[in-house]
Amino acid sequence: MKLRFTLNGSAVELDAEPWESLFDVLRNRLGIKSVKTALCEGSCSACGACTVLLDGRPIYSVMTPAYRADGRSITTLEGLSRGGELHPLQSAFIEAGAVQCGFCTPGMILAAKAYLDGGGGPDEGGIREAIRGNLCRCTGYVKIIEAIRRAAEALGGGKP
Amino acid sequence: MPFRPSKVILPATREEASESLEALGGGAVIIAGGTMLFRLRDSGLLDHVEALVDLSRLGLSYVRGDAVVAIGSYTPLSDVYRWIASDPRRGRALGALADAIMSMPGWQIRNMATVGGSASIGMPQSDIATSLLALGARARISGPSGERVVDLRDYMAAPLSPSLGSGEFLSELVIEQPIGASAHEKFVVSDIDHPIASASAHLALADDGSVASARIALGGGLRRSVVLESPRALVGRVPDEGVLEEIQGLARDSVDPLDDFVASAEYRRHLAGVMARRAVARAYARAGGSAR
Ligand SMILES: Cc1cc2nc3c(=O)[nH]c(=O)nc-3n(C[C@H](O)[C@H](O)[C@H](O)COP(=O)(O)OP(=O)(O)OC[C@H]3O[C@@H](n4cnc5c(N)ncnc54)[C@H](O)[C@@H]3O)c2cc1C
Ligand code: FES
Ligand code: FES
Repeated sequence: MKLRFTLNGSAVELDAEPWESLFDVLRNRLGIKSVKTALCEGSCSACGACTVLLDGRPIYSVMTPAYRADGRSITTLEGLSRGGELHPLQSAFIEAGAVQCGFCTPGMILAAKAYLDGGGGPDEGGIREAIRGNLCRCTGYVKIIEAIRRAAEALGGGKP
Repeated sequence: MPFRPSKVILPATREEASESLEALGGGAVIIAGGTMLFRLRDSGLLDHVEALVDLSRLGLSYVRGDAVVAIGSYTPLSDVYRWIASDPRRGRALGALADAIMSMPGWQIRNMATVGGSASIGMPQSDIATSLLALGARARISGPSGERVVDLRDYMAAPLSPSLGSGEFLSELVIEQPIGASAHEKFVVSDIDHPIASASAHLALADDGSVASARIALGGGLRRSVVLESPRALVGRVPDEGVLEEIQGLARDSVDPLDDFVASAEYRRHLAGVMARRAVARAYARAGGSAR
């Protein structure tokens, strides 16, 4: 099938097979290396490493057919910085020390971005729910939550 | 041969959808959120599939209505949740469905999985299906000779094979008279596991605070879902500790639990009672009742 979609602001056109997942296409064919997998689709798990934003909403790319991207807009971590400037979430993750091995980081940041873009604020309950679909095996979450809180404050989210 | 469908069919009308499904027969599989189907890619169960039939162009993503709530089968669960949460009366009456959606492990799954896909997997493990059963949902089925409406219980015939004739698909879930209050409770080992036991309760109260009508659905690790219609132990009474004890016993005696490495049948049976008790207590509190 011929697909046309927007990837991080640029138009992409390619052929995909019906059985291919969005992950297969993004990582293996378009070279988007921030999108990772722990093969959750085969193990009934949900680690969140394959998270991308589809029209701004977080989804798991390993469980999404590639053809669903047709006519839509996909955001991956590669699409967050602007003109060499990091997104406030990226800076906050660095400042708060929220990255260890980094495997979960792209997915965490994208899930957090959707939360903040949707008006989410610095309250811990909201942040925890926002990253419930993302597992981190290194940090213990404390610094990740702290990073998202800092970014929320920097962006002034959650205020009426 | 692994899972290698040669095409994706995106019908533009219901007639086209039914024609494609009829023509392809067993070689076609309907794909909604894909969260179950894509997990089964390497299971061998889908190796016969020649075509994916995707109904997302039929305008089946919506939630509307007041006295009768209609939810299009392709509506993502996150949209259903936002619609319920935007109005306190909906939040009470459809609370079980909102609880079930929020019990799922994260927004990614809620953004992907649809209400129709969750009803169509036909599994007692589905929190969404259990809550819909307690709400008395009916399934609107579209097919070559028009539409028919059946009880969701009858639609959910067996795992991954809902009761559909040739050329038919689920178009909508219908909840009539969503009054009173409802709640869903589940017990899981970890966030992403299937529930060991789950229960949804839907109650309408009389003016004196007693229960006028009730429906309790039991799910989780059971051979089949159970629906208890206005159990005598509850109707006309206020769910105080004694009544809740009776409900717990009734639920325990009503289930046919699985027995596997996750939990023994006895443990699941025990938890079915506990979940039913908690769901009734929470639905009652949500309805504004007080067992003092
Ligand atoms: C990690 C993870 C955790 C989850 N946790 C929970 C949880 O805690 N609670 C819970 O309730 N659910 C949970 N789910 C969701 C659940 O397991 C199913 O994956 C989901 O309900 C399927 O919905 P879908 O729209 O993705 O269906 P699909 O995968 O697209 O389809 C599922 C089945 O339904 C059929 N079908 C779909 N739509 C129709 C239609 N309109 N007419 C006829 N047949 C149709 C398909 O042919 C297929 O057989 C979880 C899923 C994942 C991946
Ligand atoms: S790879 Fe783990 S959820 Fe996607
Ligand atoms: S930093 Fe290693 S998994 Fe999160």
